[in-house]
Amino acid sequence: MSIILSTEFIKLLMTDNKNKIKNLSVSSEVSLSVNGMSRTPKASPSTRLLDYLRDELKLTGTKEGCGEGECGACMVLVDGKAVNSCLFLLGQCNGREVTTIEGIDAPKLFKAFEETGAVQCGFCTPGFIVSAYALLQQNPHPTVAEIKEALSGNLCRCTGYKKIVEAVEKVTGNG
Amino acid sequence: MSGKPKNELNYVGRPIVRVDAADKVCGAAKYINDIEFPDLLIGITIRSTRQRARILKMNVPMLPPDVTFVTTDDIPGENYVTLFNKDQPLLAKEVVNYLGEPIALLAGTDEDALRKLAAQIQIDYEDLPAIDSIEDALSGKLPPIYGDDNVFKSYGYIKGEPGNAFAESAFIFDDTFHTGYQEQAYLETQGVVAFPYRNGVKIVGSMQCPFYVQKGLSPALKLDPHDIVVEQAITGGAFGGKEEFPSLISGHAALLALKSGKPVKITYDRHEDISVTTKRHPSKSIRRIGFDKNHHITAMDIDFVLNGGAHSTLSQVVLARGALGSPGAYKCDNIRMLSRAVATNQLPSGAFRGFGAPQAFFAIEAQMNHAAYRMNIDPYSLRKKNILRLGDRTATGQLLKESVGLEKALDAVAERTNFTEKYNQYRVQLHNGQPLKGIGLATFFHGCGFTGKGEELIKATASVDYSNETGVLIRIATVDMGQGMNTVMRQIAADALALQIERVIVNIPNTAEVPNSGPTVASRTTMIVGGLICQCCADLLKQVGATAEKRDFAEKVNMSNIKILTATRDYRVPDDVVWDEDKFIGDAYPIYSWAAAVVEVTVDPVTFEVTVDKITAAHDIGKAINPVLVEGQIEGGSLQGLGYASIEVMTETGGRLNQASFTDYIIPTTLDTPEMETIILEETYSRGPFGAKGVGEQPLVGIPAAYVGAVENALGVEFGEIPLTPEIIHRRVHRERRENTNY
Ligand code: FES
Ligand code: FES
Repeated sequence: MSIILSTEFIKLLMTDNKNKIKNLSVSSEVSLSVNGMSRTPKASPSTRLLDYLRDELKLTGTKEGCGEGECGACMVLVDGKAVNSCLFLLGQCNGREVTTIEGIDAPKLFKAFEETGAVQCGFCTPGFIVSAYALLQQNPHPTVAEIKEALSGNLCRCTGYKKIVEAVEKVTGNG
Repeated sequence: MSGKPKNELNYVGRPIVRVDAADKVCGAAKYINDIEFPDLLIGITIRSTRQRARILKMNVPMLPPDVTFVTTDDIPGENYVTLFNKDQPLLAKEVVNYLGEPIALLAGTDEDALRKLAAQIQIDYEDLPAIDSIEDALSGKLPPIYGDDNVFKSYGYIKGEPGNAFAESAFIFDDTFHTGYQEQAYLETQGVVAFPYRNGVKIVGSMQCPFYVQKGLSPALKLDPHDIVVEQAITGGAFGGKEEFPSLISGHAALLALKSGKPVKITYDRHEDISVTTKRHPSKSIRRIGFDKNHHITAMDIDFVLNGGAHSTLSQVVLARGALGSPGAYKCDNIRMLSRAVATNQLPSGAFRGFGAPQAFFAIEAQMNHAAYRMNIDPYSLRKKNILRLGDRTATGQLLKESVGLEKALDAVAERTNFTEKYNQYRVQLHNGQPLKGIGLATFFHGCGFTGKGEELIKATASVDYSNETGVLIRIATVDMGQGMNTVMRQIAADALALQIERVIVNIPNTAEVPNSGPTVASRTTMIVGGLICQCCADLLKQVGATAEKRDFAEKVNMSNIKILTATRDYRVPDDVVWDEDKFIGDAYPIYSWAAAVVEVTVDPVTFEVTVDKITAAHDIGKAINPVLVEGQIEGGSLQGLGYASIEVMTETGGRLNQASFTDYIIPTTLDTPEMETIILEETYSRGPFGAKGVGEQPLVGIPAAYVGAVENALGVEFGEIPLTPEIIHRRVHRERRENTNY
């Protein structure tokens, strides 16, 4: 699982506290691409990427499950890498390409999740899809161990993971 | 009642893809936090910072005009949340009884500004001596929190002559068991929105029981129940954690909405959610068990105590299920059982999948594993001699008349895993620094539906409407919280009416649109509510003279002059199901699901880290209406049981949880997940829809004892508590080594 974190941000996280994060300015003008569209956010660069996506762009498929990088419900792609958008600041996205669940085009993967029974309450599902998609982009034929490793940053409390891993395996089987 | 229709089944028994899956995978499904409300205010909660104290004074700074502030003075009616008792206030007034208890509320547009204001509100307290453990609660030395004896509820009975039976026993074993807290850890935290609506208020939120919220708030808001409209939003997991708790948070949002005149949303972040919501009751069991020389159980003496926390919530029913599970799935004619749920100045404990049964079954099943070890017999054979079978009577004297798949389940897991051979081999394996193997077993049951008189009190009602234009509309208050209820109900109705499943929809659970089919709890949905749907469908067929076998329903409706058909059914407890709650005698449940599970582990002999290699579980749940959904329940429930037994450590110090985030409270990930093999057994129940019983809770129940049994088998050391962490194993093994140099 690749999670990109700036050292400055990690320090801030250690000292905790949402407010401090909000007041930190990373880069004053931000422009980025979200799901293929160029955007110049109204939100301050110190906004969490998660909040920008959900509040300003209304891309609510990205969920907040913990706000501290533990659950993966907020997973998005930044330049193709899966990252927790709750730990990522808008300012860090300057000039980068962000893809959310709404921008992921992977009909086979979606179908495999639906048909295998990998979805229960569904709150974790977009995050798993994003992680699985990132894995398959990098490594189209992962082993089960590689799938489990790639999905280990995503929590699911409903399924016991078995059917999620099977769903990803099915897609790899299809090549 | 709802027997097995004779027509060909197109949906029941098949892995129909759940209706909501497509929206969920692409992120289109709207949970409460994803729905927009115009002019929405954010609500936050001001909480007690003391474990037990008198509130002397609240010092509130000047508040901006656009901020709404609510205290107990703003509660129009009586200050409690209705459940079994009237002890839980909506907001604390004179005293606080746990750290985090709500005292006041704020609403405004800017959450950060509200948090700053909240920090300026100072509350002066006078601390009172806190009751901080089960032992404190029963000591009688501290002023009680509840009643005069601090006991929320107790059940007990004596059956047969336990004294004599113990005296004549060849073996007697005494054990004490402890279980810890467990957090539901639904991925979506608690959240509701309330807004003024018609003559009252409307509440939309993440919940299991819309009618609980309505009924729970009516006295406090001083509104007729029908003026409180409650609607479930798509719910991101619940596991009991959204059974009774949403009534409290909904009440808070409603008070703010009624005072401000605007929609108010309260959602908890993960830290607040873990810190203040209900958990699984910690427990303590002191048990004695006797066997004759042939290893048949002669008697049991059970003292079972649950830590209920500061308010009674659902403790009495959790206790009842625990008490009924305490003797396990065994024949035993001589029992002394005492069970109590006690009050402490800790978080209120509440509903969690299994509902008292996981604690009780951990104790009996771990004790059976210990007994097997001490009597030098393997755990499988010991169970073979003692389990309940068709025609036997349960501990409360209930005759098991049908659908008892326990022995099949036991044999299935034992054969599949080669249990006895492995167990005996591991028992004598060399301790030479190589990884140690272990295998453990548990047998268990889950009573389907409410305990005892529960279904009689709820009187569940369900309706099915039909017209050729609109198709079938199922109207029930039962919610889909991830388990797939919507899909199961559609399967049942489509086959009962012999229609295409696409013609069936399930109404949103909204108290103004659906009858009260009862809360979505107690593994009752498929059996009880699904059964009512089946009966409604049979009524509809009859209304136009159609049958499912002839598949002529639509045609017959066309020919008749009825445009819209409707059928409504109430659940009636069958006359031959008789339960005496005071004596604790009779038919505790209409029917039981049965199960056996085997856990296999490898233990590192140096670090005592345990790797779980495989869980094999067999569940007799009657007809599996949707096998993929059933497997999903079994796999997910088993993993929750494994987490409970091993890594999910939650402790408190002075009423404050030491693990209040996902960083500190660890739940299993893909890497902690063993191979899982599920065996579904279908001993059909004559009164269940197509023969179905219940499945939701049972999978979690037996895993902890099987896990601990496996670790014991690997190490040759006994344990009496969960979660069983490497630290505990380490301490125990070293003590054992000191005490017994031969080891
Ligand atoms: S919300 Fe970002 S990891 Fe949990
Ligand atoms: S499906 Fe509910 S958390 Fe994964």
